[in-house]
Amino acid sequence: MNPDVHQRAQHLIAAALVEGLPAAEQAWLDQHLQGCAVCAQSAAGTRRALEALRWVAVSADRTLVEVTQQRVRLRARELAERQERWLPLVVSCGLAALASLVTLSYLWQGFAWMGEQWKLPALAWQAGLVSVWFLPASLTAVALWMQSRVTNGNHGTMHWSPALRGRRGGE
Amino acid sequence: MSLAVYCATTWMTDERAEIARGLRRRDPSVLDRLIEQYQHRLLRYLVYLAGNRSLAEDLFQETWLRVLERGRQYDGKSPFETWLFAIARHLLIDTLRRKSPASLDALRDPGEGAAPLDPPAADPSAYELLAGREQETQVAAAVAGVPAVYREVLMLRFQEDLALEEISAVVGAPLSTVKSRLYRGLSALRQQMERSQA
Repeated sequence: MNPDVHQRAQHLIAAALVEGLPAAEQAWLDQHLQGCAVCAQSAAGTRRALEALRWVAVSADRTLVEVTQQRVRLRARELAERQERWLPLVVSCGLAALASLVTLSYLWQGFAWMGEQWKLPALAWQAGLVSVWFLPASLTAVALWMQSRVTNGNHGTMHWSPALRGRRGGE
Repeated sequence: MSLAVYCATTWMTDERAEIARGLRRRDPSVLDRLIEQYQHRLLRYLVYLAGNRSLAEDLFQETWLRVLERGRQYDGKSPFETWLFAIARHLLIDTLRRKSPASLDALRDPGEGAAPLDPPAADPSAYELLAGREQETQVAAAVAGVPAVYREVLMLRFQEDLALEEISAVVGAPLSTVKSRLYRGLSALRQQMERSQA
């Protein structure tokens, strides 16, 4: 028999498993396997290998599942609390931005007047204005940074530790 | 027949939409249910991919935390397991990159110590236990001998019964690459099985 025929059969054996075969090719393969012991053995070997693959079972440990559920619940609570804190913050930031825009011209006039009174160079009182303008945002940024540090420190307080693995063994 | 297919499809779509809604709300009860439902499949995927049970168990937890945090990204259009496996895969790659700049191929050998592919906790007879353990050890050794990139697609295709397009989405590779890996993986698995039986 032509070696190309066996090569084709080998390819079709794998193709049938990977993506399926059109009826004509499947019929050709079936016919070939009936007459070729080597290819039939190869097909059986591949099938057996896949059956064996399905046969190997890996199951999750109950403790692992429970610890994971607990960690997820804790994290969900943390995220919900963080979200609750964010809403008033976002609203107040929006209001502060709006108020700043509305009062900008008055602030400008106020700082210009102070600069005139104290004989300050224009750059100095303008720098003062910018500092006051950015003060709330800077304070908020510092507060958020500190808060995120605290939250990250608490994140995932329970782990699947070697101690838990030991507990699993003792059960 | 077509009615049954229609009902099954509608039910699956509804279920995915419900999961997506639950994940958007970060509903712990939905996550509890998902962890229960996918516990074995996810751990099996991670064990096969990492070739190391201890690492797989750590990643199992991290995957669910990531699912909680990024749940809003799941749109419910694709099967949940495809999204779940993709998250787990990315986490494993990130973990390996942090440890060493190794590729998935570097995971070919299982970790030292306990067998990475443990037999299931069942209650068979003494004979079954003996024969089963022997065969499982043989299969586990053969599977562990297959390079991780092939092992992964073999497992997704023949154990998880994912479609080729779904596997492509999980591994982030084109369909042609997935097919090529499957062909090579099948060949490698067969060779490993023959070697372990010899």
